[in-house]
Amino acid sequence: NATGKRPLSPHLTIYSLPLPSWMSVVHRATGGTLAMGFRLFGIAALVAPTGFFDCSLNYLAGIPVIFLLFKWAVSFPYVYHFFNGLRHLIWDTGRGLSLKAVHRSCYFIVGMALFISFSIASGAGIFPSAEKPALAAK
Amino acid sequence: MSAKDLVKLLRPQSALVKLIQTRCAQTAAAPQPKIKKFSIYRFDPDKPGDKPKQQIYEVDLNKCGPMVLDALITIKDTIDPTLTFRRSCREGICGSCSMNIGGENTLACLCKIPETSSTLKVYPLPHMYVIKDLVPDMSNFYYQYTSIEPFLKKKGITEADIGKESYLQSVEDRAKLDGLYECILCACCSTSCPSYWWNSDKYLGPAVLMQAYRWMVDSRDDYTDERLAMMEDKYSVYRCHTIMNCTKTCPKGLNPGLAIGEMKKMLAKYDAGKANEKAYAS
Repeated sequence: NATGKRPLSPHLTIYSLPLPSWMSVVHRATGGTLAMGFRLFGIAALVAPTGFFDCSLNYLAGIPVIFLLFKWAVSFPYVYHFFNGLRHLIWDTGRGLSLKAVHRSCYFIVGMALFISFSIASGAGIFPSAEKPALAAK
Repeated sequence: MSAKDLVKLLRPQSALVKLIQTRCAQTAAAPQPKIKKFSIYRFDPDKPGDKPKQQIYEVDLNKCGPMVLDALITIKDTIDPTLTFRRSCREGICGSCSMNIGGENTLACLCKIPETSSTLKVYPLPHMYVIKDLVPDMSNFYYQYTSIEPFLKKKGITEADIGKESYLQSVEDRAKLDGLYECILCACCSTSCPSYWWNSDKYLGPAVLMQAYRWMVDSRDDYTDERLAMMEDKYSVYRCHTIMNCTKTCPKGLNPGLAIGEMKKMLAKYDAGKANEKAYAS
């Protein structure tokens, strides 16, 4: 393999990555953040002083926009990874692997994930959240 | 008002029409040069310490064929004879001129030059060792192809039996090969796969895997189980994460992603124990 002094042709810097490949990247990224998130949360729950989580949540709740963003940042990886995972399982049966089907399912998953994660975060629409009465009581 | 005045009023466009006709004749006689800029990857191995760089060429599209390969040939003929690239059939059947055009892997002879004013970027196939300019080293790719034994293997026949009679196949079995046999091994798909970029040494890549599947699914071939047993390791097939860049970029419209999905199903269903016994016994 006389590769010696030969340069490697550029890849990520020049390739126009289409949407399905970005969805695969985000799937891996959300998978990683979910895993790390759960672990960090578990460790924090072990070592944190009592009332730590309640205090931080109350502080965040004071700034509605940041709170909403925070809730969305927690729900989106979960929902996206779940739906894309379902698509991977469907692919494992051999279905939906045509180019048309892949693009259609991409748009569908992104739309669904954004819609559902935002619904969960804002407590609006199809997922009424239990936090609203508690905040109102304050 | 006389009739003449009325006629003049009713047909005011005649003067305008004459003007347009003369202008059209002028432009048809001397077409304005349609300049398109090409930014092409250059690397010269004969110059010591040379670094790869982009070189911009300007081509008049009125004096050049419609495809990117025509532009490359025009550049080589008229501007820079040192520009190096592979080409042969100029009709999309040999697979020589595969390269990265405008961010996508395709065949230069099938890629129409976009008539926009932006510069067209041309690179060699991604993550391959470059021999010169747009010519990558394909030896690893060809080695991986030979490793899957892309030929018909039959059991229980002797040297004397070969060529005596044709191996018959039903119409349905032949239909299974449609979409698989048309592959021209241009390597556009394999070099578009990020998994193949990171693992070209051990992962076989979509092109080779689709051909492996083509032989597994050929009813005339008797070694299906052994072919499947060859894939039983972490890297050969299972680096595929269904990213689907391969199907998106195939210039012949084939679907390697689907072939790999079907092969994964076969790997899950066949009896691995028996196949290994057969493989080691032969």
